[in-house]
Amino acid sequence: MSQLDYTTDEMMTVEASRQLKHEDVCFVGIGLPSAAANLARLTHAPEIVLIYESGTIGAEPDVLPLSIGDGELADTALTVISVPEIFRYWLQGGRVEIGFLGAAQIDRYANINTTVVGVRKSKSAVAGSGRSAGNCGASRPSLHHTPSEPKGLRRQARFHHIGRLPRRGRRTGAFGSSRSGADKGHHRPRRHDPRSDDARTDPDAASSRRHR
Amino acid sequence: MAKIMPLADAVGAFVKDGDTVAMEGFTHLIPHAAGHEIIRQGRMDLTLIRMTPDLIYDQLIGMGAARKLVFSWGGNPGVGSLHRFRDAVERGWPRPLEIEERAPADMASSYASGASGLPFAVLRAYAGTDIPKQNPNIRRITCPFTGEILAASLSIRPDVAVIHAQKADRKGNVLLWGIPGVQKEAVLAARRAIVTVEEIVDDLGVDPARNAVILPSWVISAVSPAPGGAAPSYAHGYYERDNSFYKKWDAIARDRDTFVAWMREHILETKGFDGFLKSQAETTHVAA
Repeated sequence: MSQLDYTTDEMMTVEASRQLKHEDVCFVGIGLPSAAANLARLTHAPEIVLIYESGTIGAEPDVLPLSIGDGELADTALTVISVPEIFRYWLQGGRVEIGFLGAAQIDRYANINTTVVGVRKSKSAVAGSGRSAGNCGASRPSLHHTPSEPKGLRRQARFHHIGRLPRRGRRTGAFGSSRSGADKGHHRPRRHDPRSDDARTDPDAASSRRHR
Repeated sequence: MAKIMPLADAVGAFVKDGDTVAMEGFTHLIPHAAGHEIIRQGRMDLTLIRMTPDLIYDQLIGMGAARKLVFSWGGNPGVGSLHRFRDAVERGWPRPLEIEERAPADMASSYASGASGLPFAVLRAYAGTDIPKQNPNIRRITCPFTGEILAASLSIRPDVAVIHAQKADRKGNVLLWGIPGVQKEAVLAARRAIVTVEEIVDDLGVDPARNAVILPSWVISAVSPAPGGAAPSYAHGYYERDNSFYKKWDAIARDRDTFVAWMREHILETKGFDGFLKSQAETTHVAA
């Protein structure tokens, strides 16, 4: 195929949005997952309930939020509650059917790493688990994690923030933009990151970096 | 009872070197003015706690005020990494930073258990994850009724909580609304609390439809007027989030020298948050 007129991220966004249904109650992460969830709301799933970690339940933003706590979300929400409440009553309480979140790395077993790039003790890049680790394994949602770059797909995730994605729920899955792993079929990455190759083909490549 | 006092006095009286400090705010109502004042007064060896550390913690860490960070997600929302935070963790600049990572559900629950006077929070989390191996403050507990294995997480009980709110009355009762975050729990879990406010009014004029949170004066140490004090985050009903500044911060913080020069010009060499806002306005004007 010659040059495509859409990006891999846009392709993932569209594909992710198609996983959402009219009757879903969806916990939404910022960035690509938020774009996908709102795309679903504005197209085929207008009745979908979107919940952001900031405590905004039933948000219907007119512009995509830059952060999960944007005023736009509070202004358009059915109700706004505290953060402990969102985690305890709504996520842990099992009131959410599906979660759309981002991740740094996903491996072939669907283990997810949201923080550690490199070997943890070797002083690594840091973001933190974000919403993922606490609630994903804990509550009922099926999960769709979306590593936004080819290098996010690994043979072995460096650090497990979340164990394997839950099996129940037919729609559980991981989206990625690499040729291997979670490739959804016909699309190809526009740019290829050679750094992703060593880790994909050589499970020891990750640990060898420790000695660098 | 809360004392109403200038922010510099409140920080001087209630934030000490070595303290565990929780400055909360969820995109909304982030206490930037108070953070700047802590930097101006040169506090050191702080253990900083925050569910979602962003720019103000990047500034505190970059200036060497912190020795440890307890957090669940650190970043410049929608923009990218916190470069000063990463530099401290990855290269120990300007000093090494210890990190304690927890899940956000854990932090929210551990603030709530701290506010409840309980030793730990119980939650159904961390199954299959590596986080508890890294963090001795997260352990397993068996439910005495069902035998289910659950996570027990040490309560968060900061020495000081620092938050920003929209209003206080003259007795120091505080009102905030909009996205309430975890600020109420942070204040009630802490031994001392400083609240900066947009304005001090005779009557809070509570509108129950606005999801109002009220913190009574007797759970607060100090209330300090700081108009605009959440900027560049926002205060619902007062001003919007300055998204352009969050994007600009990426370039400022990426380089050590640029960062230090910016901190010197806009924070160390300005007086109070008014001075900071003025120097920002001047720079923006020149840039335009």
